[in-house]
Amino acid sequence: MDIREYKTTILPIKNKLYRFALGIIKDAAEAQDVVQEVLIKVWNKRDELDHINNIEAWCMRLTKNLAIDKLRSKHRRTEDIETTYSLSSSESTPFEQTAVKDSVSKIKNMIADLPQKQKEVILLRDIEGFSYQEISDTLNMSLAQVKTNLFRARQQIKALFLKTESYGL
Amino acid sequence: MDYKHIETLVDKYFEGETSLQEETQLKDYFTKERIHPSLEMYQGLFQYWVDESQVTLDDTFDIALLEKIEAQEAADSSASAKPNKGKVIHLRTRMLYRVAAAIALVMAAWWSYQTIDKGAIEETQTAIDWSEYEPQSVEEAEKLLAEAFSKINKEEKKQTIDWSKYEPKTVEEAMELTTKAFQKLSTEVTEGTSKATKEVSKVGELNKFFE
Repeated sequence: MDIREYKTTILPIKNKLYRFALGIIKDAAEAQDVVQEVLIKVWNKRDELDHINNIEAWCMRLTKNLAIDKLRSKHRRTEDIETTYSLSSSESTPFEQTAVKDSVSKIKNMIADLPQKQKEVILLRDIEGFSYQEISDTLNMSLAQVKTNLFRARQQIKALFLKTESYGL
Repeated sequence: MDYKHIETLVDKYFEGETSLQEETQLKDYFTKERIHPSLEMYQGLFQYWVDESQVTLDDTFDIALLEKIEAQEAADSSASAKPNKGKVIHLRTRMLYRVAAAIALVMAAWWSYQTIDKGAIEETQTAIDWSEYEPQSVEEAEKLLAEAFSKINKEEKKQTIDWSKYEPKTVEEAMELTTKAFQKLSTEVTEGTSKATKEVSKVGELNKFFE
């Protein structure tokens, strides 16, 4: 694969990769770093791409793995800071309270709080519009697992919506 | 669109039973149409999915990525052009080097021997033109021969060593001369040993060179 082919076949999937990374990591700059790392890896393995059945699904998996790694190391760093300087507090700050009231932040937090697999499935389905089969190929999951995870994710979101509606949170 | 239909679709959505087409209908309803008050609470969710699906990276991302790839390629090509400092020489190659060095050494020795030998002969041949000295007649030859013999006799007489003057006159003198002779012999032997040691160490260094 030469650079021209790379630009026409690989580069166009960058936005899907970015949105998926952003959904997992919730930080634009870090999500961008993840995508860049993935695309450089693809370039370095350009001679082996013929052996890969679904390049897009393979790239999505790379993105997911790298984003999760980054998220874990980010959590470790945050935990270290909180342990060292005792910054964590059980009570929300006024700023946080305002942010939670904001609709978009509320939804973002709902999705961020979902279990990892449920989150991955709902992001691919509701943002990317992937079919069950595409999600199954991308996440190396059976179709039954895809459906179960999607059902649980949506049920959890619905429950949070109803709770918000009932208590005006 | 009938809000009742949308309510049904919303229920189906949360049960995980909607098709992709039905999900598109829901997104369209919540982003493009007047929303029924009973459904307002879900507007944010579908609006969020639509907004997120439109998030893209800008052109600066492509530029930065391609620059990085180009830089990496340039670094790779320059690295492959440089000589490999840590090159591993395999045992077989080493053996070949040794054999080649030995052959080169033998050939050099043979060549120098040939050159010196031939050179000496050529030098002798060109330096003296014996034809000038050849006698022209038998008489002349006899005369030259006689002159040569008489010259040799004279030289022999001149060079005869009178050993009698070196002979010791007394027993003490004889003892002293004998002691000196042994001392001289001892010094020569010691020097010979140290010379031999030096030569052996040189041979050792030469061996290291070929290893």
